[in-house]
Amino acid sequence: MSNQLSNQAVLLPLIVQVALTFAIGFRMAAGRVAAVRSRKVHPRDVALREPNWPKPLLQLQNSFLNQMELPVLFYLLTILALFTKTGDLWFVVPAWIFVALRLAHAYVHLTSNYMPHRGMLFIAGAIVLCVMWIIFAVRILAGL
Amino acid sequence: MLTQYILIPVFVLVARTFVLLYARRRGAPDARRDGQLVDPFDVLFYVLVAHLIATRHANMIMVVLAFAYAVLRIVQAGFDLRGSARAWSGPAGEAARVVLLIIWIWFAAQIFAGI
Repeated sequence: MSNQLSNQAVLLPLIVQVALTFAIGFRMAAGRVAAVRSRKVHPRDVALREPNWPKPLLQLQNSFLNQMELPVLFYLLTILALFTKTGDLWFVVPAWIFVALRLAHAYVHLTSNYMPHRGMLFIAGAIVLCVMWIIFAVRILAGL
Repeated sequence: MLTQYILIPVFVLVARTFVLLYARRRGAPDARRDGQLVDPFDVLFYVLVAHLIATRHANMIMVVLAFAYAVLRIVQAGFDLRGSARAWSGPAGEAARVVLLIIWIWFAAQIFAGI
């Protein structure tokens, strides 16, 4: 059943997801520095994470924090797939679908932020990730 | 090594996350209480399990403790979702964290002291 792919092939979707997270994080950090320097925001108004940043920066912040939710389960699954040598096409194809949905979700989050589209992409990603976990669990438990 | 067995509590907790996500989307008010979808302590648990597998330290004691952690987290989530029993949610969560701390200490002792 298992045609183990190379470590690079298994890890590539994860690297793309990590790159997305860093891209959003750096953009957010640069925007925050610019907002403070231009005196749009005073540091004491945001020191305790009060939502006092300009709206575009709050969008970036929300998108960045969102990358620390479901994708964490994706990172874990990728590592476990490597350790258990179950990183084949059954893993890599859904992994790419998940990452593509996350990219689309982040794009909507940072542009129109239209909630019905954003929510749909989030749920679609969650369903793909859930299916990936189910496939992985079945394969592991079948080996008991 | 008990790789498959140590992964069962992980599967349980991941399933719990998806159930909570579903409950949130359905608008269950008590499922919204906790803002984070993936609990930070669960992340510490996942990291620990990954290290146990990588270092081949997933022994029977670890498996039992991992199951205890998962069960306590499920109990906590059950209390969270049933508003009437929320008073028990805190102690269940605290107990889970203590168990997690014990697993980490036990793991560190095995790695650094060769116990």
